[in-house]
Amino acid sequence: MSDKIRIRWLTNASFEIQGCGQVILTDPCLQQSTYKGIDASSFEKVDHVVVSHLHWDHITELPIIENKHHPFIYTGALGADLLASWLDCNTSLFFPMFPDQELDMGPFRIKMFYNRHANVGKTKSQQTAKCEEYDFMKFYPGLDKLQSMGGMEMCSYLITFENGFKILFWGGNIAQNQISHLRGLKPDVALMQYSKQGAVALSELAEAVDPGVLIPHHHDLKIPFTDERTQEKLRVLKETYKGKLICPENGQWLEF
Amino acid sequence: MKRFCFFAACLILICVLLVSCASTGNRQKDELSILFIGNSFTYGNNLPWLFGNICESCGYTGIRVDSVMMGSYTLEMYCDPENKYCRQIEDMLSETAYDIVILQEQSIRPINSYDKFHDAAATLTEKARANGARVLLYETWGYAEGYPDLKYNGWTTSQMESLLAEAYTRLAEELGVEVVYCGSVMADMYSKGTDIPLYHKDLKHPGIGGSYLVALTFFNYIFGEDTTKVPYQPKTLTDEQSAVLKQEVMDFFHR
Repeated sequence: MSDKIRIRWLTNASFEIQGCGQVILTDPCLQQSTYKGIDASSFEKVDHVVVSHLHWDHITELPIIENKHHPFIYTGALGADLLASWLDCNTSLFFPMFPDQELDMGPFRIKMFYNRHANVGKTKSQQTAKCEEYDFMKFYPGLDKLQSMGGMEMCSYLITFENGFKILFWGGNIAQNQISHLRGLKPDVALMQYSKQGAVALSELAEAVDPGVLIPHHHDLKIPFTDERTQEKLRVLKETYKGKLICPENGQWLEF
Repeated sequence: MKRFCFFAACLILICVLLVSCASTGNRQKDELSILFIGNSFTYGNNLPWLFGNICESCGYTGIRVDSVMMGSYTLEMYCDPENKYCRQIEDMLSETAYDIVILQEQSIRPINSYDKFHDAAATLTEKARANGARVLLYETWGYAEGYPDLKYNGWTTSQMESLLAEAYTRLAEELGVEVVYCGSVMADMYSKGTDIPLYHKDLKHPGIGGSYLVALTFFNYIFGEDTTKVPYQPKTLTDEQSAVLKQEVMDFFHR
């Protein structure tokens, strides 16, 4: 078994992580982002799926993956039942996570950090109604009912492989408590959402986390990665962030 | 001559079996199918999965562990024919001949709604027995000191656990089923003032130490094995902590 850890950003908050014989997917939303180059049915093996929250742009392809691979699914304890119900799958596969809980899965350990989402403050009906704007929601019956939970429960995860390699998968709204809670975590790689708060706020949080490498995500949901507006956002991030930054293209493998 | 051939064939067969067992190093254990039905006290740290890991590490490779576990669920909800998970349980029972069905009630209900606890457990027991399964009741624990509901009810952790044990014992007698006193062993461990994470930070749900202790308890109860010899332990516990929990099961149930 190779000691190497391989990571590829797929699109939005979706990553494929390979390490210690395991394949981990994060937030599988592959066909409703601007980049559609990865087919959910194309994965040969998926052992684990890590879900940050239940908004549509993080789970649309989860049913296909669950149905084909029956992976373990890690998600927040509050929304786990809703997700299981939507997937209509056996709850034996579920690892509902409580804040700061760490599980030993053998080849890796996984710890959950509780975050805040930018949509906090919107009512349930507002969040459900928002789904009516999207034509594609008709392909995902019942998904609209998960959206208010998506705004309420937001999880980030620290994955520590048995070879010691650490990956932080982070998303959400940047707040002081996040900076305090994650300060000095020093993962080898931090996969961090480029939030609506912009490059300066992300740089401040990332510098507190102090990863070996920062890889931003969630910047191509509505505007393609190659679009000059996205590239401009990333250029600003490169200027403001003092640590090592990698902005891979969709589907590009990175090896550590 | 025929008799000689028969004995020779038997002898060869026995030798082959002995060599086969010795060479694999695997103890072949009986196949067993177990279904856990519960809520977050069961899915916290995925207790059925922990239990399965313990079984596998001890050579019980033929164990099938399934579960139906939804947050905040009561056993009554699993009895409602309109409920999706009630139907899921029925489907599972019709598809698999479970040897054991484990029932875990919502954490306070055995005390404050005994009749509903009884009726739901009776319904599920009837279904499990129709499937040919033996029913075990998974007694849960008192909330840790500081949890608001304790103060509200005027209980200590130990008092709440005693009330739960009493309710589960009464139910077991009334239904003719067995109780696995996971809450009692948890209370005993907690009373020793350990630093092992028995509870999650919310002072209610199981920490990894609590879930591991419960999984060991089920393993000891079902198979009668010495838990101090269990190889599997979560890496999120230290070797010392795991050893203490393994020993606790033996001390509490077999002293």
